This record gives sequence, structure tokens and C-alpha cells, in this order.
Amino acid sequence: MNGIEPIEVDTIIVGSGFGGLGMGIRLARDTERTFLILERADDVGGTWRDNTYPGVACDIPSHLYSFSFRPKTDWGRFYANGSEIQRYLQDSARQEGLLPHLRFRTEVSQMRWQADSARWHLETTTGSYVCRVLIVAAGRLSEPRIPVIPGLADFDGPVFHSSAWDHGVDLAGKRVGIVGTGASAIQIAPNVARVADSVVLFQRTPAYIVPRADRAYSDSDKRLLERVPGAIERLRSRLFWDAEAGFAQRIGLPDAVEPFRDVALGHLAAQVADPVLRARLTPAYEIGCKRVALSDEFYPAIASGAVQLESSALESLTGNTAIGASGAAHELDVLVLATGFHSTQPPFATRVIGRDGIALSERWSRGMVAHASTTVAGFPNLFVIDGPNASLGHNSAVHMIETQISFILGALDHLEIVTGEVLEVSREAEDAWVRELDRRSASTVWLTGGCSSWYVDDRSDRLTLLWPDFAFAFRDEVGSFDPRGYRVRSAPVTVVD
Amino acid sequence: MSSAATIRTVNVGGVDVLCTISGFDERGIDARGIDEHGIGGQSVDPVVLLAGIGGTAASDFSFLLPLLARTRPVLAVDLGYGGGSGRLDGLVDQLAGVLSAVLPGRRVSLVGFSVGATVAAAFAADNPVVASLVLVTPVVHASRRHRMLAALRGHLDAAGDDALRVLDIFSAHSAMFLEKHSPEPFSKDGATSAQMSLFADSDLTEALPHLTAPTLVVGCTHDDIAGVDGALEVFASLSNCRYAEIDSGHAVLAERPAEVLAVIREFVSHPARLRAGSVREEAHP
Repeated sequence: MNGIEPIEVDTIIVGSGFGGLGMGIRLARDTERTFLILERADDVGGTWRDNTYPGVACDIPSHLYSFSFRPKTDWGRFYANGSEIQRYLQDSARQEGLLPHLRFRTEVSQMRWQADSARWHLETTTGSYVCRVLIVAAGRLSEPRIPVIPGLADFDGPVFHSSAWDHGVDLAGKRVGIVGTGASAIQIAPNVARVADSVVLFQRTPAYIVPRADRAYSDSDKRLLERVPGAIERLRSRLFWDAEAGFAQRIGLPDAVEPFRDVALGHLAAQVADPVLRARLTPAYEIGCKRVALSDEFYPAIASGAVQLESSALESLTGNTAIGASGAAHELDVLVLATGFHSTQPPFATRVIGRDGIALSERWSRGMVAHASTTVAGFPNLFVIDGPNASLGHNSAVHMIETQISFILGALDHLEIVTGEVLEVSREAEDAWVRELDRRSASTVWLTGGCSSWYVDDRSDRLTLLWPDFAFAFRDEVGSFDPRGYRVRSAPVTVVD
Repeated sequence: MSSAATIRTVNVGGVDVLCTISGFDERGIDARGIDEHGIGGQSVDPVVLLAGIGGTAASDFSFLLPLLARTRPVLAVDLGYGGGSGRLDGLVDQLAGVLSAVLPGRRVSLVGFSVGATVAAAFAADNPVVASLVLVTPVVHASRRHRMLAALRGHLDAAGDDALRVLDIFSAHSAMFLEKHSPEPFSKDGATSAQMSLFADSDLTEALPHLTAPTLVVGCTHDDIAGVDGALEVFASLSNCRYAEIDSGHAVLAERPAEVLAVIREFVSHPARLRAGSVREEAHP
């Protein structure tokens, strides 16, 4: 694209999952700003576009896992499957008029703040872009984490990550290995077992699993929500507050933890009769420390032998032979890596270069930090959605995203009101915020539960992924922009030819 | 700050009153570390909790107390309703005695639930100790319906009829909640009857004009014991009062514990944030 002038707009959003689309919808509805949404793939949807594995579904009730400003009365199930959520996001983008704002197949290689012009300059696979405000909504579960396993490259058969499912591989009659016991693996294993010849699951650490109790919504359920004013808001509210009570389990409140653990271990006991197998599936850490899975199919698949449990990590591969840390060897035709994502060290951070020429990944070398979970000192006019301490272990991510969107809109309004051009949080304000979150995190199960998880940065042992409080507290504290701690400047005077 | 609770008994005029204390100890309140969120300007008055009909601090506040104590000192008081001590003025005296023994010289945020709201309102009248007041499912003056419920309970109780358990569960919870949960009935000791009588006799008409502390009233849409109208009437009667409504039965601490926490946490931190006379907007999560 040499010789072509960069495209300049007021605001650029990177990513078109729930975060990027939600931001775009609110910008389009509520503001006059010019904006573009850059998307590296050829469709919107983020996680829900990428994850198409057998059995992919959400663990948060569908009426809660959707935009409050785009309620959908006809969700098919209590927990929507992945394709229904993907359709919802596609419909949202189209019906809200976002298509003209979207630039697909546009992978951003660099985002650099230019102090002299007070603009962000972006280099991408479809050319250069310039903007005043940069909103990174690149997701936290978007970069597959591929484990280092000797022999992986030479495995004699298809290998793919759960979020890049190869639907060209026919699993019928195949011997399939699945690595991991996270939320994806637990959904994948029983579904693959229905078609494959055999399935071996490599389990390094067992998960706590609670009953899913999913159900289809009836026509009358849907019509009630459609016909009765306020009914869908009421349902959403009930789902939200029910989930909210679950935070008590995450701070080790015995009255909350014990019943929760009993539910999970009771589910295991009810579905797995063999005491040896049951012991191998019983976690040694506290419930909630790692993400708690919801499944009614996983344990029966193990108990029936449809999925063979290899309760050790996959250690090496030779030809078609997979060897577990236990020494056991398994012959495999296909290997599925359900090994999670680079959550605490997002790759986008290496591509964001701030005021002093410092990469965001460098600022975050001891773990992600941000004031109000959204803005970073040294990175003017940058907002990060779904970044540091903005996720939850107990309630809907969409609630968090909407909160951050409100914060960003408030910050942009503030800039306009004070006729400023450049907004930057002070390091002091950011440090104070981070200290306070560390204080709140200290008593949470994520730091006291005796496990390692993708919520915690292993470089500093800080809880950097999750918000260590109720979701309502996030809304109270982040939902509206508070200008204290921010510096606002007007733009340097520039001469335009 | 630690959220472990300690239990202490305070004798007030011959009545042993059980106190559950969290977020502070015998040495008093350590102001360090309780400045919630590190953001200035917030009240950290200790919160005092009074349980409702058929409940105790342990049963009603198992969620609210430890979670409030993460951000401020909390004291839950199990007033003695039994014997002759259950009259309203006697209960007010008990509370005064407990506060002067446990939190001498401190202003408090007083939270009363159900019959606890009756005691809290009576206590707060013309009382400078109360910095702010939260009345959850309060009743201004008993209605015919309250007296019918008390009489029905009395008949079943006297007859030793097990239907009393069913009646209590039925009246305390919304249909939606009972679809999914199997709650415990009210406590079987004499206190529940005494509380119900107090509720059925209550008349706060005279006390209300003397309530000047910033007040939040919480009403529940499906409250078959106090009734949401009672909460609205209290809201309408007070000059310095806000109103929040929760989609729940009377047993809101069981049905919507996190929402009650959210409402109380916001109000006791910033009693004046919501203008007097206004209705709290629904959260729309």
C-alpha cells in the first residue's frame, strides 16, 4: 500500500467480538464520531467465530450473555450454543449498521502513538490508519496457547487447537487424543466420543464440574418475553443477581464454598461409580480456583469408557504414539489441543507502542495493569476492553464489557466538554488502583485456592485477569468516567499543508 | 481487612444479647484498611444489622455480614424477643445498651430487616447515633392482613400443626424462588411468635416524623408478609428518604442477597448520592 495516504478517522476499534461490536454499536447510536473496526478475520464474532468445535456452548445463561441494549427474546436454550451466539453477533453488526465501519482481513501489526500529532498510527495488512482514539478489544481468549511437546511437529496425523477446529478431518473411526481439561475440553470430549473410534483425554489437573441443567426454551417461554413489557429485563436481572451471589464462593466464605464444593463432588459421585476413577477426577485444590465447568455429559463419557482418562500430562509424541507423564503410551490418529489461550500475556500488547516508545508488553512485563481496568499510564487516548482485571469467574463477561464501554464513552464526552485532545491517566492513579485491586485479590480463591490458573500471571503471581469483586462493584466503580487522576491536554498545533 | 466474625454476649438489663462482630475487635475499630476502594470521601461508619421475623444474624446475614465486612466494620445484633422483653421499647433499650457497650461513642449505619426494621425505625427516632438508616421490608402500621397472618400462625402453633412450617415458607418466599430452592422455615422458638405479634401490632406513625437521618427503604415486589405497600408508605412518610425495589419475596436476604448487598453497600458509602425523595433506578445489568 505504499504511496497511499493513511486513512484517518476519529476512533479505531481493534477487534469485532462482543467488546468491539458493543463499542461500535454505542458509538454509532450515541455519537457523531467517525470510526472503523479493524478485524483480522473475515467475519465478526471473535471467540464465537473462532470456536466451532463439537459441543461449543456458553456457560453463562443466554439472556445474560447478550447485550442489554439488544435483548433477544427467542434464545433457543438456557445456555446458547456457539453458533446461535455467533448469529446474534452477526445480526447485531448488520442491524446496527456497522458493516460500513468494518474492515475485515485487516491484521494490525503495529499501533504507535505519535506525540507530535497526538494521533495513533496503525500499520495493518490493508494499509495505514491514523486515529485520535484507539480502543483495543482484541479479546483475552483469542491467541491459542500451543504447548511445547517434543515430537509435536512430527506427529503423524492432523493436529489442531480447539479454537481452530479442522472440520475437514473426519473423526469417524479415528483414534483421537484431546489434551487439556478446561472448559473447551470438557465440551469437546463427550461429543467427539460419539463419532470417533476411541478418545483419550490427557488430564494434567482435574476440573470441578457442576450440573449444567440446560434446557430448551419453549415457544410460550419466548412469547412471554416478547409480549410482556419488562419481562426480559426482569429475567435478565434475576439471572444476573443469582450469578452475583456466587462471588461469595470465590472469597472463601465457608457458608458458600462448602455447598458449592458439595454440589460438584456430589455430581462426580453420582455420575462416576468407580472409586479409582472418581479419585483421579477429584481436584486437589479449592473449588473456584480454576474455572468451574458445567457439564452433564463429561463424567458419563468417562465412566462408560467412551472417553479414556489418561490422568497425566501429554509428555511426548513419536510418530502416532502419544506418551503421558505416567509412561502410558496411546496410539492416536488425530490430536486436539484444548490447551487454552495466552490470557495473561496478550500478544497485541507487543504491537502497541506508547508515548515514550515503550511497548505495552514492556509496561506489562510483570503483568497487565490499567487504571479503571481500561487506561494505561504512558498510553494516551488508549482504551483496552477485556484487558487487566476486567473478567469474571462468576458472572457474565458482557456485563463487564458494557461497563467498560460506558466508561470509554464517558471519557470521550469528558474530553469534548473540556475541549481537550489527549487524555492520559497518571502513573500515581494507576498504581493506587492496582494496589487496591491487589489488596482485594489477596483473599480470593484464585490466590489462595492452591492451583495454577490462567487468571494469574506467573511472572508476578498477581491476579491480572479477573476483577476481584462483584460485577455490580465493577459497574459502580468503572461504569462512569471519573476524571480524577487523568491529565487532559490540547493537541499540539500542527501545520497542515 | 479480616472478615472473620467473633461472637460476644452483652447483658442488657438482664437479657443476654448475642452480638456477631466482624471487621473490628475488642480494641476497637482500626480505621486503616477500611477506606473502601481507596477512593476518598466515603463513610465508614460501622453497619449494625437487625434480623427479621423467624431469623437470626446467623440465618439472615450469612451472606450479607461477611461481605459487608470486607469493606467496613459490621455488628449483627440478635435482640431478645422472648419473655416480656419483646415489647418495642424494651427492644430499643436492648439495642441502645448493646451499642453503648460494643461501639461506644460511634455513629452507625443501622440496617433493619422485616421486624428488625420496626425496631430500627423506633430506635432511630430523634437519635443522633444513627448516621444513616436502611429499612428493608418495613411496615408502618399493621394491616388487617398482618393480623390475620399472626392469628393463623398462632392457631397452627398452639395446635402443634406441622402446616406452620409450610405457611412460613409459603408466605416468606416468592413463587419463582420456591421453584428452585428448599428454604428452611422460621425458627421454632418462641421468638418467632413474639416477632409476629410485634409486627401485627406495630404502629410507627408517631416515630416516623422523628426520623431525620438519611434513610433508604427497600421494598420487595412479591412480599406476602410485610407487603410492598408498607415500604412505599414509609418512603412517602419520610422527608430524607430514598426507595429501592427488589424483585423478591419477603425473604429477600435469601432470594436476592447480592442485590441487597449492592443496594446497602452503595447507600451506606454515599448516603446522599441518591437525592432524598427519589427512587433508585433499577440496575439493568
